[in-house]
Amino acid sequence: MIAVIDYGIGNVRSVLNAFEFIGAQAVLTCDPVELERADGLVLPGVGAFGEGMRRLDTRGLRAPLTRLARAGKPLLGICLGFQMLMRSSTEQGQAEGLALLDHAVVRLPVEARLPHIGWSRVKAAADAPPPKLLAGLDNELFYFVHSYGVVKPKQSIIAGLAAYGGCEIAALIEADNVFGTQFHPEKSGEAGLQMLRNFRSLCL
Amino acid sequence: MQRLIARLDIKNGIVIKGIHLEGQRRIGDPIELAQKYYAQAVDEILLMDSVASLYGRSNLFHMISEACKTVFVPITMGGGIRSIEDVERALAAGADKVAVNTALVNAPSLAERIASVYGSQCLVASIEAKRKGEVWEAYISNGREPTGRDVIEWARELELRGAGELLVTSVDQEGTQRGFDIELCAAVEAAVRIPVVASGGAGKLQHLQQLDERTELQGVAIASLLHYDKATVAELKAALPSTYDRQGAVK
Repeated sequence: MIAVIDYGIGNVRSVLNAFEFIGAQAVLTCDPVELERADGLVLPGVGAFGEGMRRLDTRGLRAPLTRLARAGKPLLGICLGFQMLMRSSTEQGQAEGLALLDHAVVRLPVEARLPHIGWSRVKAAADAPPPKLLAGLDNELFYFVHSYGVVKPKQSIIAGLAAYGGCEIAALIEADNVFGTQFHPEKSGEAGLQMLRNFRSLCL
Repeated sequence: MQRLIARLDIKNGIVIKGIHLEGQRRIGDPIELAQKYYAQAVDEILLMDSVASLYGRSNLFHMISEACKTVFVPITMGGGIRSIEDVERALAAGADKVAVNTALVNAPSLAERIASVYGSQCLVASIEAKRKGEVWEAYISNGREPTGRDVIEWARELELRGAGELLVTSVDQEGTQRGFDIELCAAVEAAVRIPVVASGGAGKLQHLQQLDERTELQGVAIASLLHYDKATVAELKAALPSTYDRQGAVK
């Protein structure tokens, strides 16, 4: 069973639908007992970083999420959920994230229009092992919608990259059991569904 | 051009197609059409309740829920979004974005509220533009009511208030299949720094090519060409060589 974390924000319905469509059992919950029992966790999200973190804190989710991730349970952050895995974000001032990964989220330093809304190719990072989530999916198109992100990523946990406005964006991270996608797999057609199948198989 | 969007205008549960946003030729079932365009690899789907403003509420929430069970591309819900609670319901149903026109004209601060809670990317500010001499006036209620607002000034205000993108529908061209109001698109594009999506007027592939040559818009919303089976999504993408290769894949 996959637990989709309910913190009152975001397009959770689509994430649940996508798991259902691929035949995976997924539940929407913020109950720490359920999170503990789940084979994998998904932190979805759209919207503002500060608001997202506030809502996680209001529901007392920061401590259990951090603990379960550090204990090795597979965790997938999507879009804002991906950003909240990081140390901090400059969106609407400065806000602290879950700090499971030591990266900063910044406004994309591009001349091109923001938000970046649209389909971009995600390439496996050259200097890293082949991404588990992109098995069979290298150089496919995924749907992005964001103004902030992790840019100039150098560390080896960056598993997939996309480009927008001449800027290289961290599209996918894989750090042991902690995964994150800046794009929305649940909105990326068949490629996105396959990526979710890949995540699910890592949870079993 | 980064996105090819299928636009489904809905009245009483049926996709309809009008002219100048009026009239009501019945096209088909919204879920079936959404599935059809999804299967053709459309980039996004826009579901617009065309009578919501008239009745002051939207009937699309249930339809969005249904569509999102089998359609895994971004879905925007428009028509009858009045409040932050409506946005919440739309997103809970599975929509990724809401398109809002009338409610923003009546209470522009709603834009800031939506952007601060759900993020700018969630808010598509919808502008219905009608030519008035050398300028354009913004309309509400599906092109029926003038607002007295200049489209370009209104576009700038919407950007400042936190809209994530602008959907600009030319009421004059909509449903005519006589081509886009390219001057309108170019004027709005020059006025703001957020993505702009053009809607209204595409009747043949050349109309997309003309728009693509003369603007750098981020997206285009297509209704007639798809609904009347005049083109497939792949053929539409192939008409946009700045973005897509000949197989319809993004370059």
